[in-house]
Amino acid sequence: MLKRTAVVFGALLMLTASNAVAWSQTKYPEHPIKMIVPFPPGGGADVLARMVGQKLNERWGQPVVVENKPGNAGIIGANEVGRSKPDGYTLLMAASGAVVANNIDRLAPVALVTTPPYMLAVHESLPVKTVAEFVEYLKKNPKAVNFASSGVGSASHLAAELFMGLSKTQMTHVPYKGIGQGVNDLISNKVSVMFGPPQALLPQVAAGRIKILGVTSKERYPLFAEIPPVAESVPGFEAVGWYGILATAGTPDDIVKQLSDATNAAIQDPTVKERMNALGATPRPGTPADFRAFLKQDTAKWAELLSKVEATK
Amino acid sequence: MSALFDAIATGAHTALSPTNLIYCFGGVTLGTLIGILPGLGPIATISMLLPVTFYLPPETALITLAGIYYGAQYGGSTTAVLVNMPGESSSVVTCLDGYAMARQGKAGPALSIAAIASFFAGCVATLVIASFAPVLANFALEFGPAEYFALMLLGLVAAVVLASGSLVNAFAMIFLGLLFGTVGTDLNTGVERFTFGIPKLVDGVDFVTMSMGIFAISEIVVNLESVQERTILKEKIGRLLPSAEDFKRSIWPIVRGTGLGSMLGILPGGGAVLSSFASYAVEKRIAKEPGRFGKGAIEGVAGPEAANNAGAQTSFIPLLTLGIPSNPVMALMIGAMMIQGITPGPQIMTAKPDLFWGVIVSMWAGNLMLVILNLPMIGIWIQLLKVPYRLLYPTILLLCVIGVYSVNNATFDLVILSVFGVMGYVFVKIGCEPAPLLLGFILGPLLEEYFRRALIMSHGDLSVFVRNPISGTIIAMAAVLLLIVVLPSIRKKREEAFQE
Repeated sequence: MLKRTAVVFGALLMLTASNAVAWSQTKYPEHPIKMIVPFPPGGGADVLARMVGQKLNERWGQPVVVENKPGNAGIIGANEVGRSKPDGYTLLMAASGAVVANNIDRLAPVALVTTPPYMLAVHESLPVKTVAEFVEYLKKNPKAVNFASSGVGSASHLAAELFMGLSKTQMTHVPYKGIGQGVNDLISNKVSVMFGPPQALLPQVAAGRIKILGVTSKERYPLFAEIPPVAESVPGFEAVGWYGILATAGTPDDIVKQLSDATNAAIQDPTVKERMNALGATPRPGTPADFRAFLKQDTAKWAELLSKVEATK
Repeated sequence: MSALFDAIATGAHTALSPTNLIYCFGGVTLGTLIGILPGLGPIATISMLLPVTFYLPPETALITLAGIYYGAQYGGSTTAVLVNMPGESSSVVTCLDGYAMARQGKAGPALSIAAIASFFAGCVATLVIASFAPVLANFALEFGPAEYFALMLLGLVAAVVLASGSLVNAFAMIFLGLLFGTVGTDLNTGVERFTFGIPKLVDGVDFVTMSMGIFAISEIVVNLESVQERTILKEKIGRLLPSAEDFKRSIWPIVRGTGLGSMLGILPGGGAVLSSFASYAVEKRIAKEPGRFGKGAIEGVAGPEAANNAGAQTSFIPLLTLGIPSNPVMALMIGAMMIQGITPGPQIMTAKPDLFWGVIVSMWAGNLMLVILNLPMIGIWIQLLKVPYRLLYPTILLLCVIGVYSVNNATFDLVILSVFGVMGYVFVKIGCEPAPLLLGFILGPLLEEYFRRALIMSHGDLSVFVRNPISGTIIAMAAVLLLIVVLPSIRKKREEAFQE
């Protein structure tokens, strides 16, 4: 009897001990993870969230449930993650626009996923072939050229504002609801210029309706090496979008690190890489600290530009 | 012509493979089901199913998703006819005469004609896509902001025609709809309007939520008041198939509705919803006895049902030929393609002919399945009317709540649903019809958007609207229509005044 009791106690002790070990290493994740996409399904952030989510699931055996919480350019979904429990079980697949000065302190950067460039596209009838010729054309015809954007304050709008500011040119802003509508009017020559994502613009180039003058990254983008950067003719011009994963501020560092490592591995997986290329993007692995620095710089840059635009109005 | 046959053969090879047929059937069945359930629409369903399509071949994925979309157009009419609740936003107008028919014991003929009209329109629209897709896409490209503005204006004037009661009430409801449409962020300046600092209102009021509240919730409340009236309906179910007379009345509305739907479907923004409203307005305008509309005219079911199905299908044209989505469902389809690593664009037709033609042929197969699925089911749906209301209404209420919540995963939408429920109840009590309000709500923001965009592009020159031949003609039509509508009622009022 005594012997048996001792065995049971021994077993119990061992159990607690192994539990304690697990505790100290923070066994994460032990239940499904929710990844909030603050945009409607089907967009770039949604596709990336599902691809990365699937890889995290394969790695940890815990499902990653993607939930779309669209609204207010992504801010509604981002704020929700900001209000969640800081335990690493509620993540945000953010994109440029969702993280703003108001909510950045409530979020913990985990990993940057990719920073795809935009492209400067013009209707094929516009008599220019290079960015330099385009700037010259705009100077000769101030305010006569219309550019499309996917809304006031959107990346496509800000890129154009930055371009006009640096090249000292003026165009008329025509805002649309979404990229698709803008592209529609660009290919039918209702507007002549647009800064837009490659996957929306490149198919129309193949159809001979528009021309691409440059990419918005600082240097040539590996995926589109034949296209020169706008910065070659307009020094200092850089306007890339970004996608990245964030958690709630206060999430333990070791969980953030695990998430970051897993995300970095996921985005460098060949199948994920290939699909990302189809979206016009290449993976950009890095540490949470890299992402934090990137965000800080990015938000500051656009906030400054926006206040300048406001001031001229 | 033989090129077309070759292409269709390519498509048939893809669409009629056993796997794709099964998925197509699954899609249209699911579509019918969510069409019947109020609140749960194709947008919510397709976004929930999007991750699943990750694991399917691209053709199969698109065939399934497309099936859900046009299947929902079939199913939406069932709830509209039986319980006066639009299962889909595009079946709002079907409520007007479909429900009136059901009250007269003619639910069977109403449902049959809806299915037959949808089938006819579906087949014709498929042919239209197959033969004219590239031409029609270029036609849609010709439409600039001035033309869209004119079209929306015409739609708004036509909204007055929708109302069967007082003209003043109709105008009041349209303006109320326009007002609700202004809630949200102004597109041109980014300034928030009527949001009262509530972040959830920044994107405006959701159409599904609004129409569910005004139609479904208020209908339940009104019926709770008058239990006796509903028992009459229970006994009079009547026959299932339309009479020869019904067919005779419906043929031309179906043909006209199909034509209207095929044209409007390719234009961004409106699509299926706009075309059903437009078809109803046309039928009522050219009818010999417009007084029958709103009181159970079968033309008022046949035309709009044909139009919404044709519109739903032709809205694939801009997607498949230009890679540009014309409505939120098509934007989801783009997402489905991108998940598969296919970049939507003008190259799809030549680079992926089996995908392009496979989806088109599957639409025809799907429509056939739908009519086979729906016609024998009508007898069963009608039995729904026999379900006691103490069971039916809580079920419908629950489904509405789930449906509305699933659109944005937001509880705030339920608050909005309740607010519009109360509002809809008040409208019934004071004798105002909600349909013009919904049309004002849909068209108002588009009207403003295109008006301001046209002016930005013309640098403030107002003459752009009349100088342009297409928009000039449409605006003239709107003016004439307005005169026709307003003049007789002014005359009538004067006659009444003289009699006194």
